[in-house]
Amino acid sequence: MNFQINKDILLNNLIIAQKALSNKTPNPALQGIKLDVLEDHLIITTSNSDIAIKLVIKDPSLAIKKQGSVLIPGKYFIEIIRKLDGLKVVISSVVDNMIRIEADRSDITLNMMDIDDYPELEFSEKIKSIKINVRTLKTIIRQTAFATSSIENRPILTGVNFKIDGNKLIAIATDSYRLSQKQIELNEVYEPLNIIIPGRSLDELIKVLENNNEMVELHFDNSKILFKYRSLLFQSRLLEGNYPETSKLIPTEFPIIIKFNKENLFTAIERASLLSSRDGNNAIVKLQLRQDNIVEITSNSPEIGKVLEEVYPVDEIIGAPIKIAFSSKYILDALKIFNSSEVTINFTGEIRPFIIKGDYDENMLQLILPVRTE
Amino acid sequence: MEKKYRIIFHIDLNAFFASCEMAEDESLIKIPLGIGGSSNRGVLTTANYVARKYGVSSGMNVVEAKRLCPSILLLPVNFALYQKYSQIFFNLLSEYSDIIEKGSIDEGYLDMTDMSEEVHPVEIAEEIQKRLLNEFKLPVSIGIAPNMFLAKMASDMKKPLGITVLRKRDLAEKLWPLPIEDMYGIGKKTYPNLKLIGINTIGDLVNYEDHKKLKLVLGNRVKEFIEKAKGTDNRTVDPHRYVEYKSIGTSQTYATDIYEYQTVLTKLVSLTKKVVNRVIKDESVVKTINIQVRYSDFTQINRSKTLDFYTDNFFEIYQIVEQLYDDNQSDLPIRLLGVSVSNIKPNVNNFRQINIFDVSKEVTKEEKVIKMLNNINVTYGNKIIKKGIK
Repeated sequence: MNFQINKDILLNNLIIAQKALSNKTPNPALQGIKLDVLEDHLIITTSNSDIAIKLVIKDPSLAIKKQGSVLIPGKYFIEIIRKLDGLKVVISSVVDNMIRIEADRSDITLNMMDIDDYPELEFSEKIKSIKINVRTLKTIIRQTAFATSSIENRPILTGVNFKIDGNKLIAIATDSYRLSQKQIELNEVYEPLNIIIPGRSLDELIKVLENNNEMVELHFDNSKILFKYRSLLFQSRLLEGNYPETSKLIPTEFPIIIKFNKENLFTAIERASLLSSRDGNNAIVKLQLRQDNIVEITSNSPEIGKVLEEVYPVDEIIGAPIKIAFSSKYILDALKIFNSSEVTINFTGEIRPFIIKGDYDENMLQLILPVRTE
Repeated sequence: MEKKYRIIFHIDLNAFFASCEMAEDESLIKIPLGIGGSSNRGVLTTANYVARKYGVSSGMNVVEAKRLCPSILLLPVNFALYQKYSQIFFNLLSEYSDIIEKGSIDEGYLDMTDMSEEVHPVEIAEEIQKRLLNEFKLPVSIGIAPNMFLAKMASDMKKPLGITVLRKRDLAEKLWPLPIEDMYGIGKKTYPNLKLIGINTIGDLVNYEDHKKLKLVLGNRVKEFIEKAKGTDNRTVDPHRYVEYKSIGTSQTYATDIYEYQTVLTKLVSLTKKVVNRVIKDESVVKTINIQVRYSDFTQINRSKTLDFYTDNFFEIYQIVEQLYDDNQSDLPIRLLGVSVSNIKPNVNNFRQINIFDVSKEVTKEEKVIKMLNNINVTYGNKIIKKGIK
């Protein structure tokens, strides 16, 4: 194997490949980056137990002298390329299972790993696939994945449920204490689909997708999903099992509706959660709609102090005074992802879920469960 | 500057439950006495030293104890009494050091490093021992060592009323010849396996070279045990540790084995009630629920589940108890059942996050209660009725 390539092109691809590199793995081969040098292109492959990435590089700067396949210790390879000077880098395999990296005035040799240990990976592109605009896909993920569960108590809730019904795609995520749902319209009508993609895979995926109007192809079978975008193949395992039916859990009638300026509400809740002895930003904050139609946000930690914030709702208020308590983290997380500058909170009762919606966030809802303060 | 050597006391109340009874009634001192075992199937939790001379020991069943010592007097377990003496014990210890860790109801660790600069530690130990015996009739054994593990081992070496100093240079002579089952932390499930791989004494563990094999037996605690056996234990005496880790529980051995599923449930209900009442009395809420089932062949299982919220509600706790039992059912007749809870914290500001999947069933119920309370209060005057929770 022997080829030369523009250093930055290689580095940018390696940084994407790094997302699927394992640090802790029972299979040491997965700490390696696989390079396949073919007649006119280069393939970079990495994988861990959740995701696998394959990048096909065809670049004018790529000059291939000799074909071949190698497995290179991932961490060292990326760090070396990152730190190299010069525009070009030459990579070649030399005797005794070594790989040689030459650039500018550097000459580095690195022990190779045994390529026979690398698992066979199948990146299966199916005939049937779904096409989604990259920007839209990123938005769906950004607006749902944060609500997945981070604990493995109910493994299914660590994923985002993607459902297709006709030309509608619905994505749902919940950790049982809040729920995020986003619906979009697809360009075509597809067969029904119901899969659960691990939230962590999606977090990595949005890091490697760019923000433009190109299309991403989604290919899937029962156990995995493949995202195809330009020269990138990003594959994730799917979570097995049935996602709970959440549609019945989402209330449809709201006796109390209050509209807020998002920024005002956000900062008030943020300040109220400052004085909390609870771990992280998991402060309990109380929201009260007073008789005079001003909303009071309060928090109280006997050992630290208390906060009272007044927020003036925008627009008319529908419904009667209410007092409700919730974990500030859930509402702040939810408010962050709204594009609208005004949001409505729809309450159903003091110990029932409430829903946040925004005029400029069509077909998205954020549902939050309050806490009981007995 | 941090001192290099610390001086740690481990103080252990000898035959504690029996000693409490004898402290209350001096006439019991000279007669053989056993605690626990309300029926012939029961097990002694403690025996006094008179009874021990006959070969009676704690954990022994009542029939065996009566056979060895027909004149033995058996008294029922009386937790309130033990709590009282435990408090007396720790109050006295607190006169000597601020750094006290409760090991359990009847043992404590004291960091005596500071005080030992003025008085020789053995003199302090003698004074503590004498005072507990003279003022309260409580016999204790004291271990003095540079760390908690060695102090614990030392207090065990001479009972009752012993004072043992265990320095690092004494290990080869005093610690390593001891059988491995005497090592604190090695349970009765573990030591037979250690013996299988040729470890009979603590010294054998120190010298054992095949760490892979050892790992199979001790899991990821290999290093910890070897370090301890070598006399190293970096834990510091932590006054808060006991509070954090304590659990509330109760168990009962039944006079006849239980075969019927329904009977088991009835017993579990009554055990859970006992535990929940103690939790409420303690003004605490709990998160982890544990059951213990011992079968007629003495095999036993322990199963636990941690909720994602704290509770002191009987129904919520019982539901888990029953679920744990159901998930682990066996055909064997049951000899003993136990229920315990841990992960305990004080019941202040107990906010409970509502779960989306429980809204319909739970909240509807609760809303009815709230509505009813409101109606009553509206009709009969403000706050005439409220929930029995703080």
